[in-house]
Amino acid sequence: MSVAAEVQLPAPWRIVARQIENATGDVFSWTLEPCGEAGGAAFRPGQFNMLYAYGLGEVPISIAGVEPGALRHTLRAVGGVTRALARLEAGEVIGLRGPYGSAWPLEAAQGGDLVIVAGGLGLAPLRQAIVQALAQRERYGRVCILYGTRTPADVLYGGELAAWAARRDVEFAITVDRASAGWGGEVGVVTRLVARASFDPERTTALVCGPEIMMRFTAEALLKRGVPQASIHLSLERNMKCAVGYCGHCQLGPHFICRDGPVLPWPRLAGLLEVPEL
Amino acid sequence: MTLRELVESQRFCQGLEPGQCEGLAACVSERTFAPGEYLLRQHAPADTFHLVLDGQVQIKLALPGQGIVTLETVGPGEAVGWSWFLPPHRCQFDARAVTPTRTLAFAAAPLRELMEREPAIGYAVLKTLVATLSERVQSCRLQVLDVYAPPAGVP
Amino acid sequence: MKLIDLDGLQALLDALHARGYETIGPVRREGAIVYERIDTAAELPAGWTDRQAPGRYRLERRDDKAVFGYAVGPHAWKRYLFPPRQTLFSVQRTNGGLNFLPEPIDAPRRAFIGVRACELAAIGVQDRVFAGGEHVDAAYAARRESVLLVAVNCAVAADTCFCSAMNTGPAVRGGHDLALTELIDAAGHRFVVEAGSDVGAELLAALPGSPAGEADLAAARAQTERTAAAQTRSIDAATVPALLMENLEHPRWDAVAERCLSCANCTLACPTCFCSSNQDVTDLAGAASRERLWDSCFNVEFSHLGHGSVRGSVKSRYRQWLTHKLATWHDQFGQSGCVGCGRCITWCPVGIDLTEEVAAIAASGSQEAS
Repeated sequence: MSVAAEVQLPAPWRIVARQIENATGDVFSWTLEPCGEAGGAAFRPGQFNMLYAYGLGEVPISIAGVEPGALRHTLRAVGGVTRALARLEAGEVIGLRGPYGSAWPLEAAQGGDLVIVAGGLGLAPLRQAIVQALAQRERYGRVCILYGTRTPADVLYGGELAAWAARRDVEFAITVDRASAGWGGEVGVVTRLVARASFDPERTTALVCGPEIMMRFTAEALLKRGVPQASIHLSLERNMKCAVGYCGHCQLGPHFICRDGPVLPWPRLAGLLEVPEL
Repeated sequence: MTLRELVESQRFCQGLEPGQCEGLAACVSERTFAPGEYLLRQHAPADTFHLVLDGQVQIKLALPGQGIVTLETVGPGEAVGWSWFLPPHRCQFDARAVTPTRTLAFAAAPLRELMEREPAIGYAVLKTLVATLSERVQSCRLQVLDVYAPPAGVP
Repeated sequence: MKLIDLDGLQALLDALHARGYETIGPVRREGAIVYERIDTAAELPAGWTDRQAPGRYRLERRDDKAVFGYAVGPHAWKRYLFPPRQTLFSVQRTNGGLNFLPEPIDAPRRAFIGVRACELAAIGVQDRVFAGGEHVDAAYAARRESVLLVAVNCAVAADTCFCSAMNTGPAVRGGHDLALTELIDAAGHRFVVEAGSDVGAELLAALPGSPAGEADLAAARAQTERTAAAQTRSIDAATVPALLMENLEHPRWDAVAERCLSCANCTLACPTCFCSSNQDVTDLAGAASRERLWDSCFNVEFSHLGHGSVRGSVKSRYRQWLTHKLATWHDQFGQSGCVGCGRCITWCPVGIDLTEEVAAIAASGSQEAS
């Protein structure tokens, strides 16, 4: 069969496990395994797959975890397709095609400090980057994980966060936009954590993911601290259909977010993100 | 570090004459708060300007039916309030230490008189205050935007 | 190079049919010249020409019987190479699983009769999009492989044509199998034919005709020059990318948005526009399939994301279309997306002329001036 036909052809993957990821209960993760041959594709953190709900449609979802022979995806039901996917149970089969797009530059970041700033559901595309970096902790200088979310009930991956926070070789800070009774932690936007984290700006690589406005303000906070422009990487989101750069939907200026992104360095974005509705 | 040295190391002292820094140091004392202790109480006279040196302070407000809600937390290098500067000089919120907290505490009335008498000092202190306020407004705006919320119509 | 007459043209169609090609060419239908299947040269719009202006297209009779005496109409050849609707795959539910079946590629042998220079350029532009990158659209590549191109050197330029400025015509530049130049003068109604490929050369050799003389070739060249000179519109193709990208907040975008209906006509008529969408469909029996459909950046849902569309305003959508076509296409594909065919000007219901929009932005100097 021709290359392009396979490029756009999903393969069947089975949901082997499903779990709720926060106290609010609106975000869930799947562990997925391919029904047939594994295919041998290397799924890298930062990349995404197109997940297909039978007869309904597809959505681009970032890879949240890579395990031997399996993938983890974290989703929230926000539209027709994701609501249908949210109703599926373990054992059911979906369509999956990928991986697509650019990955977080973890290799290039080695030898320096690594600062990871996640906002809300933006922690999901960064999770595997964190897991991989911590598995090779000695290759990095300081590692700072800064996480901001809406309320304490929205905190994702609670157990894993606690483990990261407990590590002495990781600086972990968490803040919420709105506290609930009993929250003794920080309250305020995640950009304020950037000002206080201990990293050496000149040798730092920053990986940022979250709502676009949060990423822009975070990039400004990083720049204000002296992190070089080219060391700041954002993960962008746009409407996607084909995932291979010829349906045209995901364009931002000259970039096809599905192909040139979703991970892009700040210099390629700065002039574009500040133009409303570009 | 002596109290005088602590004051001189603050941002608003860069660019001031030694004599002026001394004037500021005369209004200041170092205060410590245990976890749970209040720095400021809502409606009380705002007679102290706290600059956090270490620790974490919650800005809280009592809401009927919701108890005392934390709006924001303030950390090292940040000013706790600004009601000390503007009449009627009454605190609008509670400020409570979460962790053991150390502050540079300026007596508000003498500080205001000093700022009035010596505009250069007044300007230096206000520059710092405006920077804090600006950051707080920015932060508040982002909090109000509720950027992490799911799209409208989604439960 | 050869000289043939109308009988020779019919012989060409017959030769193509004998080799298994379905011939598609211009016909007059419902007041326009469109591209449909033709079997005989008699079906060509002999004696017709077009009068085009912003938002206006009318056919008029000529005082001769020229069969290619018009510019381009609402159809572009992309409707055959990149069909408005294609099935990509079908899905079956199996016992506890899903089975994905790719759709067999439909690539009939077709010969396009009467491809203009701008259209050849447009086919080249879509070749780069669909078959020139890392992911090749195999269905497009197959259809492209089975198509034979019989080009025509334009004898007339519509008022909306600006291929000369975009350096894509009016003379056919390459990528064709055969190229015809129609001449009607005292020496008769004839066509100079030249080959552009081996397949074309084979066909040419078998055609009944006579050698083209110097006078015929001179007449053909002169005709092309007249056609180029007749063009009134232009864009400074070299400076337009930077001009637009440095003026993304120019007030002219607001001005054009007042007129633009966001109707997507320009993108439908444009021979290079390639945007598409996927639609998953099911039937009552429970079978599912995915179709790929033409889409347009002018549709508000095109950029839908979570809370709403990234490009909610007409201004932002018009700006996206024009900056993509004239500027960012260069970054993506190394060439302009515009071939100067003028269809977007003619088929815009409110007569927006992109050459005028570009000129207005250029004239004002910077986005501070208005």
